[in-house]
Order: sequence, then structure tokens, then C-alpha cells
Amino acid sequence: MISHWLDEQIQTQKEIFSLFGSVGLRVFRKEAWRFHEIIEGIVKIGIGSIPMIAISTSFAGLVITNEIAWHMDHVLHTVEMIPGFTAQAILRELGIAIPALIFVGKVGASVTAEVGTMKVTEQIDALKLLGIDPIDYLVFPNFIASIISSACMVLIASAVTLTCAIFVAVNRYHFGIGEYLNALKNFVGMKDFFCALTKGVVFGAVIPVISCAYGFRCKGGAEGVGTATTNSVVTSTIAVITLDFILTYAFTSIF
Amino acid sequence: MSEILKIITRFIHQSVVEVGSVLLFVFKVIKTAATTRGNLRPIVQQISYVSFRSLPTVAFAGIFVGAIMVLQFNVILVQYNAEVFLGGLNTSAVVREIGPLIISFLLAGKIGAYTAAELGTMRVTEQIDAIECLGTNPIQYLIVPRFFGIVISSLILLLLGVMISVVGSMFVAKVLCGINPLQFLNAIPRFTNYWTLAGSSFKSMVYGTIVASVACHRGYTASGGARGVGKAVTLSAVFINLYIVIADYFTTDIVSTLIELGHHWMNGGEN
Amino acid sequence: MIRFENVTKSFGPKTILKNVSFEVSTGEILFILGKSGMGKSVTLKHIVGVMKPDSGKIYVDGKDVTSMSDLQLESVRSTCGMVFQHPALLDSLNVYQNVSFGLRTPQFNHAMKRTLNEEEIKTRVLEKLSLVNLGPEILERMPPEISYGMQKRVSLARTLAPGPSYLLFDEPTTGLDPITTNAVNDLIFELSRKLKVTSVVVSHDMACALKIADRILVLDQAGILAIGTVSEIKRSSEALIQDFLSETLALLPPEERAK
Repeated sequence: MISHWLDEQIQTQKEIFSLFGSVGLRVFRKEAWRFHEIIEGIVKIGIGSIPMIAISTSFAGLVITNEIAWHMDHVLHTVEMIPGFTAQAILRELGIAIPALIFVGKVGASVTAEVGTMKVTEQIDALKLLGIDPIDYLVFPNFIASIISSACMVLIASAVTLTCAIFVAVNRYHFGIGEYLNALKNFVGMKDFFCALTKGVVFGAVIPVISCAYGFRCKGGAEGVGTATTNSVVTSTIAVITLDFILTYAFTSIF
Repeated sequence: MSEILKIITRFIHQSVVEVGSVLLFVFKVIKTAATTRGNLRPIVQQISYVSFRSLPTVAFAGIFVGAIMVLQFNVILVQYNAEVFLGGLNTSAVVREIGPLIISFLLAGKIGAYTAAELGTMRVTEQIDAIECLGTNPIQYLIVPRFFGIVISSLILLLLGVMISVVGSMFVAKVLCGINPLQFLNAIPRFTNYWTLAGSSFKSMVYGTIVASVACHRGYTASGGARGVGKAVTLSAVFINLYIVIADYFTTDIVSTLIELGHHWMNGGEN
Repeated sequence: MIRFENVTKSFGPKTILKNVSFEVSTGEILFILGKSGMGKSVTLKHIVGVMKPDSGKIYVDGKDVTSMSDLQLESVRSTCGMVFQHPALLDSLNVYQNVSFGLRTPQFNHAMKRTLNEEEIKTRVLEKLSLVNLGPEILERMPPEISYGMQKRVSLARTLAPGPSYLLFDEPTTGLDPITTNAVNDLIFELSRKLKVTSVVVSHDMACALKIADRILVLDQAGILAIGTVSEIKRSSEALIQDFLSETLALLPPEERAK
């Protein structure tokens, strides 16, 4: 039973990587750049996620400040370092990872469900018979749209989280906005901006490929769509966490 | 301007309807569980099923999340020459905040989505109607075990996940940051104690309840074939994450207060 | 006896049933015919209280099901067996567990005044399976492993197992081969004649209706178009019924058509 499960896992990973390869190659093929579909994808994936991401990261901002304040108060008996600490935590990690995980839930699930439904209702076979490459038509536009959306989303989310963190710090812990801006200047630089953007692009590239790979594997009606969606969300979450670790390690070693 | 107003009112209306229907559903589930007998066995079965299924994922994520926190905290703490606090800060962050949050995200993806899909499939293929017509209450037969199974599993997974994460972090701190494991362990009690763990358990139960209620509700009320099941799964994933982050804000304050009270009580009111 | 009194049901702006009133007497076979989306399945779901009407009353055995609580409905449901459009077998249970599902409920035990032991349950399951031409070799199989036609027959056996006095069929023969279709129709007929089971059958199949129905009800745009015995329906002048009839007659061999 375990070996069967392992086979299945290896097969899935193979499919994900090969799909990643074929999507990657299409970047250099002119006919894959269907701008109409890409714009549609950005509207659906990116703009559609903004309210969700904004609401959830604003709450995250509030929580982060409260938590850090509690820790500072508890150990150092001072809350002076809140600005520096929160700014770094948000811009380096939390302002990126939390929205990314929510992005996984939203985009991963909806892309897999959509592609999976097309698969089980034989729409993908129909596309092939019409001479349209499903990767060109379904995966590539989502891939590009997701990269763009995810990169923008990381920036928006960090900004929202930070704004809310400042809001709490000013109102509850009586900091001046100036102190915060000073802390930002001292601790945060272009390299953090670059790291955040890189993470956003990497997550954005990985999520739609995993989601589509699971969608294509989908079989057996409504139940198949559900199972595929579940697996895709979990795999994407794990992939995001793992890549986050690798990138964090790489950046802390380089800079 | 009136357009925007219209969108906002519609959004508020939809949110109220959505939250209200979930709450009514949860109320019905709890009432059913309280008024019927023979629920214990299926609930225990669900708990073991959910916990075993999710444990590998939770363990994997726990180690990596712990590792990320170690790296990030180390960078910040080095600036203040406060590396001694790494173990404490890392453990405290995992126990109080990141642990419950990440575990419930994973639970939402793995079990929440699966439950919504399973129940949705049963709904659209008329299996739920069939159960009802055969004289069995589908809420008792299908929902009660899943609901309580998820809630209690989230607690079990939290305790196991936190343990794995702390051990993993200790290892990573040694290998990547050169921090002595003993030093790491010594810093832990400065920030965390049993009250922290109790608070964290409370949080994780709240998130577990969110996962269970939204997933069961979405699945149970799905309609419209394969597309409908897909929609139920997607929407449950989206709403669960949103609710959890919102609940996080409120529970954090509650838990902080509770922990303070706990300290106070333990120290006989000295501090 | 089942009685509908002025039942109205709408989904959003669309009225599916409008002032529908009819009666099914004990032991009778009533076919409900009509085009898709005319509220045939909705009518069935009202009888067991899975759906509630917007207005009007529905009586089963003289008891009003529209005003019942879920708990009271359970006792009504235990006298009604419903056969769904889909096989609706529980995926996580095997054939034996599916068919015996209705024999383990508290309502059933209550109606029997005792709990059946495993031996009795098995006998009953095998007996019902043989009614739908299935043997004991199928007991341990899981629903996805057997063919669609078999699933539908298992589903029928599951409905028959608790011994309902009303049978509600939602397109029982859709997706079945002609031989099984005939077997199912004969079974409905036999149950009604031998055991005085009352059957309400929702169908598209005029040929079956003409063969075994006592009475036929034709639903159209939000209301009853016609109700009557087979010969009354045949004489009807409504265009839709004539269309249905001529379609059906065209399929029959010439000597049958003459009847």
C-alpha cells in the first residue's frame, strides 16, 4: 500500500515538473502569448483576490503588532523596539507568507476546480480535437497572470499589513508615525524589496502549474474534482512553505 | 457613487446571509449531537482518520515553518545582540501564533476541502437525500462525526505539530545559526508555559470549528453537478482562510488576557 | 393514500408547481409524465417532506406532512421508499451495507417493535436482491465497481428492504437496458398488485406508463395538464399528450399499435 502511494506521489511530481518544463518553454513561443486570456486571468486571479488579501492581511497586521508588543513587554519590559521589529518581520516574512498561503487557497482551489471540471466533462478533449493546445490555452495564460498578480499582491499585502501595524502601534502603543518611518529607513532597504518581489514571482509561478497539473489528472466526475482540488491545495501549500524556506536561507546567506 | 454604495450594501448583505446561515447550520449540528445517541464511535473514527491523514503534512510544514522563523528571527536578533532569546522567541511565536494559524490553513486545505468535496458529491448524487429517505438523519450520520472529528483533531494536530516544530527548529538553529540546543531550550520557559499552550489550544479549537463548520456547510448545501462541487470546495477554502485570519485577531487578544490571568493566579497574585 | 391540495412551489421567480391537487389511492400506480423541468421530481420530494411547498397541504395517510417537524417526518419517511434518478448508493459502504442501511435505523426497529439480528438482515437483503435479479456474489462489492444498471438495481433493493407501503420512483428506468427496464416495470406492477404497495412513478417513458399505470398525470408549465386512467389519457385532445402518444406509438410494432 505504501509503495503504491509512493508510486502515485512520484508520478504526480513527475507530471508537475514536466508541466512546469513545458510551460517554461512556451515563454519563448510567440503563439503562446494570448494577451486576451492573460488579461482575463489577471482580472480573475489578481483583481479578484485583492479584497480577500486586503481584509486578511490587515487583520494580520493588527495581530503581528500585538504579538510582538506582548513579547517585547514580557521579556525586555519595554516596547521601544516595536517599529524596527514589526517592520522587519512584516516586510521580510509575514507580509509575504500569509498572503501567499491565502493566495494558494483561493487561486489553487479555483484553478484546479475549473481545469478539473473541464477535464471530467471532456471539454479538454474537445479542445484537443479542435486543434487547440490545452497548455497554451489554459495553463500558460494562468501562469503569466498568476506571476504578475502574485508579484503585485506581495507588494500590496506588505503595504496593507504595514499600514495596519502602524495603525495599531500609533493608537494602542502611542508611537509617532515618524518613529516608524525612521525604523523603516534604518532596517529596511532595496534588498528587502527585491527579496519580497522574488518570493512573490516564485510563488506565483509555482501555484498555477501545480493546480493545473492536478486539474489535468482529475478523473471520475464530481468526486474526482473534489479530490484533485484538495490535493492541489495541500501540495501548493507545502511547496510555498518549502520554497519560502529555501529562498529565505539563500537571501540570509547572500546579504 | 451610488454604484459603489450599491456594491457595498450588497457585499454586507451577502456577508450577513453567509455568516448567518453557517451559524444556523452549526447550531443545528450541535443540537443534533446533543439530542441523539451513539455519536461517540463515529466521532472517534473520524478523529483518528483526520489526524493520521494530516499528520505527515503537519509535521513537514511544522519543521519548515520553524526553520523559516529561526532564520528570520536570527537576522533580527543579531542586530540587538540578543541571540540567547532565539529559542524562546521562536517557540513562543510558534506556540502562540504561527502554529495554530498554519495548522488550520493546512487543515482547511487537506481536510476542509476534502470534506466539502465529499459532502458536495454526496449531495449532488442524491446520496444525502437517500439517507434521509431511508429514515436516518443525515446531519447525525454525516455531519456530526466530521464536525467534531475536525475540531478535536485540530487540537491533537496542534500539540503534535508544535512539538515537532520546536524540535525541528532546535536542530535548524544548531545547524544553520550555530546556536547550542541547550541554550535554545533554556530560553523557552522565559516566554512560554502551560498557560500559553492552553491558550494556543483554545485558538486552535476555534480555528478547527471554523474549518469544520464552513466546510460541512458548503458541502452539505452544494448543488449543480461537478461544477457545483468545485464551487463548494473553492469557496470553502477561500472563506475558511478569511475567517481564520479575522478570528486570529480576536482570539489573540482573548488568549493574551487569559494567559496574564493565568500567571497572576499561579503566582498567587504577587505580581 | 397521498393527497395534494393546492400545492404551489416557486424557485426564485420561477413557479414550478401552481395549485396542484391530486390524489393517489392505496395500491394504485400513478405515473407522472411531463417534459424536463416541469416539477416532476419536485412533486416527489414534497411527498417525503425533503422540500416544503410555498402554500397548500400534502397528506400522507391522512397526516399533513407540510406542518411536521423533522422528527415526525422520520416516521412518514419510514413508510415511503424513494428510488432516485441517480443510484445514490453510499460510496463508502459495500452493496450489503447499502441494502441493509434502512434495516438498522431506530425508526425501522420501532416499526418492527424489535431489532433484527444479523441473520435476519442477511436473509432480507438477499431476498430483496433476488427481486431485482441480483445474486449473493455481489454483496461485498463497492458501488463504483459495479455497472450503472446494477447500481440502480441495488438502489431499488435498498429502497424495498424496509418494506415501505409507498414507493416513489424518480425515473426508475433511465439509463437501463430494455430487458432490465421491463423487469423493473414488472416489479413495480407486482408489488402494487401483491403487496398493495402504492407507487408514484416520475418518468419520460409513455410506453411504460401505458403498460403498467393505473392512472397518468401529465404536468406542464406550472400545473396539471391532465389526469386520468390510461384510456382517458389516450382519448385526450391536448396537443402535448398527443405528441407523447404518437412518439410512443411509432415505436411499437403494428399489431400493438392497433390496440
